Amino acid sequence: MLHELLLALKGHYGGVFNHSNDGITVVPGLPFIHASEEVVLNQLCKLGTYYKDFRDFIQHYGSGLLAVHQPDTDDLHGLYMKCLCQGLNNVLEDYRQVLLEIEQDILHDAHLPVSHIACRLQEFHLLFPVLATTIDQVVSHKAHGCYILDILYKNATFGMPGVKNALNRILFVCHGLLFKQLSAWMLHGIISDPYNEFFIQRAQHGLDVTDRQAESDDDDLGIMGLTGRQLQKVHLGSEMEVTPHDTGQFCIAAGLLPSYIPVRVARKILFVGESVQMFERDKHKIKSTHKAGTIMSSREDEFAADLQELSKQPEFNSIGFETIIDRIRAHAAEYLWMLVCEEADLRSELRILKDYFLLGRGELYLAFIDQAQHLLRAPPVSTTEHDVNRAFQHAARNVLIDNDALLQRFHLTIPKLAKEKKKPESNSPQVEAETGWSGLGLTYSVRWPLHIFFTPSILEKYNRIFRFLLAVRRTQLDLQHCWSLQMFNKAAFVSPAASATWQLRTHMAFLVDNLQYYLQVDVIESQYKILLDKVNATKDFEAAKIAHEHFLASLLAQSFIHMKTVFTCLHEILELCSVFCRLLVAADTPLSARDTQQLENITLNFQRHSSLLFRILSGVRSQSGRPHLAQLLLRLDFNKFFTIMGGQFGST
Amino acid sequence: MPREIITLQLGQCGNQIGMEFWKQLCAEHGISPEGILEEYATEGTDRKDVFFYQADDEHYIPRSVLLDLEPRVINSIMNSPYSKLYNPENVYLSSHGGGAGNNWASGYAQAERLYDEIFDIIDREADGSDSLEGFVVCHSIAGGTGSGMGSYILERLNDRFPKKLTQTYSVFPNVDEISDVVVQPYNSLLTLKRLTQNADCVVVLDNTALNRIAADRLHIDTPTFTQVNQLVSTVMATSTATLRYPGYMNNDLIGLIASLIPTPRLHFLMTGYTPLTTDSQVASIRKTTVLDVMRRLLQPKNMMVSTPTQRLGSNHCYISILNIIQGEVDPTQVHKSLQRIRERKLAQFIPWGPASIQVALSRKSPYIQTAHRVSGLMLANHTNISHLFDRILKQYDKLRKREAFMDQFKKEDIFKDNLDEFDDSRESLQQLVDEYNAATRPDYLTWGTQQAGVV
Repeated sequence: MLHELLLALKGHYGGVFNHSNDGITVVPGLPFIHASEEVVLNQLCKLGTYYKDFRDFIQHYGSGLLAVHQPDTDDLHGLYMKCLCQGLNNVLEDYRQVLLEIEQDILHDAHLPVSHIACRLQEFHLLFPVLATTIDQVVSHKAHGCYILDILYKNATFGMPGVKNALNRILFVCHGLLFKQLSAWMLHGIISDPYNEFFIQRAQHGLDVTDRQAESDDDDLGIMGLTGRQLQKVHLGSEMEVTPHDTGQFCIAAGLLPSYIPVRVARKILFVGESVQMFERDKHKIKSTHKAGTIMSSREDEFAADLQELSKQPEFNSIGFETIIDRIRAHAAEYLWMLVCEEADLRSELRILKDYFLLGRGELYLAFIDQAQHLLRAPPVSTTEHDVNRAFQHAARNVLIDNDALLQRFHLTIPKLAKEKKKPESNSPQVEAETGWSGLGLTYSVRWPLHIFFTPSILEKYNRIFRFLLAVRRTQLDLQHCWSLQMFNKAAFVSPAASATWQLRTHMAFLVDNLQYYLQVDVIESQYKILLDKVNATKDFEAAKIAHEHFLASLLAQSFIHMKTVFTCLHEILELCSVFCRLLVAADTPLSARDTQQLENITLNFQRHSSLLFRILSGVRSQSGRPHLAQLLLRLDFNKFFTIMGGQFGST
Repeated sequence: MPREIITLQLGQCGNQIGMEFWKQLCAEHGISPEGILEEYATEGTDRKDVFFYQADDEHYIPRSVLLDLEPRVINSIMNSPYSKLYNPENVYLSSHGGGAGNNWASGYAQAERLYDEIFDIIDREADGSDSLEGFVVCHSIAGGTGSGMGSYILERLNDRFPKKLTQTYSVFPNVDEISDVVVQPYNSLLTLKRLTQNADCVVVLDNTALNRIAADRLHIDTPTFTQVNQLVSTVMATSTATLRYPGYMNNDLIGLIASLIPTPRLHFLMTGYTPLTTDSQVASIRKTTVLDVMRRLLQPKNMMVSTPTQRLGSNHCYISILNIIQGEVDPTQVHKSLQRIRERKLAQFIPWGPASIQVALSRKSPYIQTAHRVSGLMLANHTNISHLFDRILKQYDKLRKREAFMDQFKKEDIFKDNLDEFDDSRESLQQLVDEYNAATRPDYLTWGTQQAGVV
């Protein structure tokens, strides 16, 4: 009878103990079992039921990793699952041990009461339900990979020492795997992860796209131009947003990251691994001054031992964990600093980007706009991109930039025609959106190893600023061209009508000139100096990278690219100026009635937009958060003329 | 497109300051007096091609035309170490070599006769450039050649190159000393008419102020021509710095001057420069800030035009200001400096249009060591310049009343029949003075149209 019970406790049912939907129970109404005994036995049998479930679970998931080959079963599989099973088995070993001891007891004394058995198994009444819930959670969440760790960890924060220990033992087994993966990743840059369980994953392109989608959606939302998320981007130096597609190769899989490893630590892990990975892959490109082997070679043993040590601790030590990660990261960051900033000369590269993307080489773009004007005034055709690049190279040679290797790395882009055709339907029916200028962009192929510093997403930001700056510059040139027309008549006073026109030009030019000075001096030069100071003060690669991201975020914010209202307003103004210039250049003197009419329209629109700009700039001026609005206003309203005119340009 | 600029040096004064200008440019670009790039300058990213062109043999040759009616100054240039710098074909000396006798009419008439020869040279230079932006004329308005020939050339440049810009560096005579050129007011008046009507931009170099600066600020008792010209060449070189050192803005002449000149006739610019002191100790006491530079530039004592400071009752004001600051400055300070200047009302601006101080940060030549880490040049359009013209008008009226020295002028064709040209010029200059005075008032723009209605 007692042996029947022991068997039942091990999950084997038979004549006396039956298995039903409620689990293992005593067959009711047996003559030799009193009703009260039945209750006690049923109580004990619950353990048997649990044990049986655990055993089934282990058998089902622990034996093979081969869920892939059995597509009809659920998708719980992988190394972590196997570890979980193994850990579970370890814990159950205790239970089996107790059962063995009980059996011994029974063999010695056949008259042992059931209560003895119940007493010996008391602790498992506490443990098994918790284990069962944990496993239920794993199954019901379809937990995969490192997510299992998270579930285990959450359940292990339990008051009962016995339960806690048991769960920690399971966790310990799983952490063994985690640490192996960690050291493979951080010390060798290898992802040994056949079932995609590690919380660092090769980035998928789908992920990228959705992210960018989200970003552009955001931009459209802004009422005052700045949504919360954009603010966050600005203030956090766009940490959140950059992480997923940092180098486009690896990313942190948020779903797999256990909650007890903070994101900042995970990012450090990602960074270290990526650095190692990159150097492994491109080893041949490193100049031989550096020793062969990974960037970790000099201290690999040390770090490996540290991680090993940590993995032996029975409980996960998150402080110690972070300390070690920090040490490894610091080493990697310093190494990268040496390579990127000292050897690859980061500073000169920053200079190049400023010169080309931020129009630091004004004379180059002056020449380029001259050269490309006739190509880009019209809607682009299939050869435009090629021609524009030829023009760019030509312009560069004209201003005596003879560094061909450098020039080859810049490439001007024009959006493909198919895209262009879609626009007019969805957008406003205006025709001017189709000129080559509107779509012109600039790309740059970054030299190894600086590509980890200037990632595609960073270059895209540069490109956005570039496009805005170029638009301002072009308008400025147009207005200057009109100035020389204005200067023709110096002999006498000009006619009243012409005088108004020239004043409009002067006001336009004033606005655009000062916008340009604001952008170049107050924003770009100032931020660039701050960036250089930071880069010079640090020896840490990541710090430099963050400083650079801050730099770009400030540029985007202060050049109003992230402020929808100001940005559209400025664009409208630039557009009006261009239309004005085209009209003046093409028109005969005296102006025809149609031209006069159009001129009046332009004047009105310009007044309206400048007044809107004034209101925006002065309206939020009081908000101390955005001092740059006041900076632009100071330049535009330096002699208070703007204020006196009621915040409106273009009227006399 | 290099946007080349051709320099025309006319007369004694023009050639002297031109000479200093080229010396300065050579030094800044690391070009030897023979026109050969120095070893240390081969890696430079500066733009020498705006003002120089490269001959086949790696010589850098100034895009410069030297014209004079008498040989003294040009001969001294040709005997200097810089004699091989210029293209000898661009040096034109009138064959009779008698000069213009400090007579505008003579200079004008001689230039007319030499038209073909002169414009052969200019046309050849213009053809040799890819995209000529314009001309810079160096001359004095008081003598004979610079003023008379200068006037004629300005008129013809307008005819032949209507789309090109013409900027002049015009030296105004010193009124503090008795001039040996008694007809100075005549010459000045006649030249000023052309400067008003035929030049796009005139940078006024006032000899009175230059001498005062040399004496007071540089502690030179009797400033020599060279020392004064040194000042001039500094101003000229700095005002072209943004053209020669690639930067984000003002990369061409039009970009430089268009924002300064809101109405066509008010195109006479004053300049100011700092630091003008020669003692290097002053500079080393503390770091010069942007605000320091900008504040000093607004002080009358640093201005190279002599106008009575703070004329009571007048509300003369700035029409526009461009500061070119060179050296190590903190760009984040620019905004704060602008704010401070506005708060303290250090500069008075026109009431009839938008105006501001534009600050361009420019690079400095790496080949010239100076004691000063930061230097600044101000190009300003200020209504007060009318005082200078007023002074010339008054002097002219005095002479004219007596019909003094008129004989020399009547010898030439232009004045043979009548003296209408004088009256025209006087009216033109008077109008200019009136316009500058009107520009101090809020109704300037309607004033302009009222005048047009009258005419």
